[in-house]
Amino acid sequence: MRFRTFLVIAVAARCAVLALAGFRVSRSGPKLKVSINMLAYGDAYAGSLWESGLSRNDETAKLQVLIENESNRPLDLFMDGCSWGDPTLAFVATTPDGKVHKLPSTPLEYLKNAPGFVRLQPGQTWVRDVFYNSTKWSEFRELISKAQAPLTLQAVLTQDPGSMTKKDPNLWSGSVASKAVSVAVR
Amino acid sequence: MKLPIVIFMGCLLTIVGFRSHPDRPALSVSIQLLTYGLASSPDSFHQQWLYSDSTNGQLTVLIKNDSRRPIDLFTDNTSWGDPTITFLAMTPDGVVHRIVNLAGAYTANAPAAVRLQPGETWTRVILYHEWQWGDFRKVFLAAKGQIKLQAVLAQDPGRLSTVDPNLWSGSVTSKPVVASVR
Repeated sequence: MRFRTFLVIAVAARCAVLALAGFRVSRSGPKLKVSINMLAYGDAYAGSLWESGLSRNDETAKLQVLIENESNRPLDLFMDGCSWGDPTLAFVATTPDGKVHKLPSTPLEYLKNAPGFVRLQPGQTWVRDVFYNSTKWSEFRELISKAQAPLTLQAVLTQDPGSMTKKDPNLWSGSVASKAVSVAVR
Repeated sequence: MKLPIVIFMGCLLTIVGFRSHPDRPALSVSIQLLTYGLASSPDSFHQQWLYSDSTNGQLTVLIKNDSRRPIDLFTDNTSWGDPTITFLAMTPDGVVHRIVNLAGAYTANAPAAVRLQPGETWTRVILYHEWQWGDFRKVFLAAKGQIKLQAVLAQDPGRLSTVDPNLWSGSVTSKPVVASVR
């Protein structure tokens, strides 16, 4: 093969691969994406922005964890409010002294209990409200009652359905962590 | 084919390939209607219902910043933010109903905003059984079965955009979802 012909084929092949990679940008990545929703609010008259953050004293305060199905098939996730779903969400917090704290939800006694799931179609997002000052998140509450701002916070979703996948093959299995966000504590 | 032409076409393909989302809108809006079920009997799943006679029905609208810059949106419970969300509901008879927030009397009121960084999502919970969403109840009663529902986000900040240039201006409509009314 002449060198010039080889060069033409090589360049064309490389460009085709790059082009395909570009088209695949939106399809690659983990099947589930987890993120912590800490939005900032402000005053449009003054053009000022209020800081978002965690509240030490407000028992109704919540943060939101968004769980998005980035795959091409339906995924079932255990719902909160049952013994299967409650432990699937936990947090990892890093305090200013560099210590890393694992913050699972507090195990509850479940009287009537069944493995309820929520089915996420491709592209759908499930919003899980976390009332972090409630008894369900006692370790979270204890940490922010003492913490100096800012905290670095990550949400971790872990699900191991075990043999239940035989009945429900859509049950997702795995562990995925959100990006870390820096949050103020007030 | 000449070598420069091949290289040029290859580069063009590369650029087009990497621009996987050309000219998409800055915001996307979707109605969150999820499906629930039991993993022990997964065939018995059902989609989230809308209730015509409950006192605590709600649905969630997700608003995502798909752009590369911060976007400010008026928050609800103000005269600026409440009207920005409306719904279009098509009943089985083919009639399209426009559902608006009926709230009108604001005493202490200021144009508060939420800032969405690129990729962030704001969830607006619509308590459709509260009085300001009274149109929902009328539509649900007329529907008797299924409705096709779309959320519309429209914001016109007017002169306020000179104070806060991040205030978004425009209108965007969600994809329709089919919901069962009970």
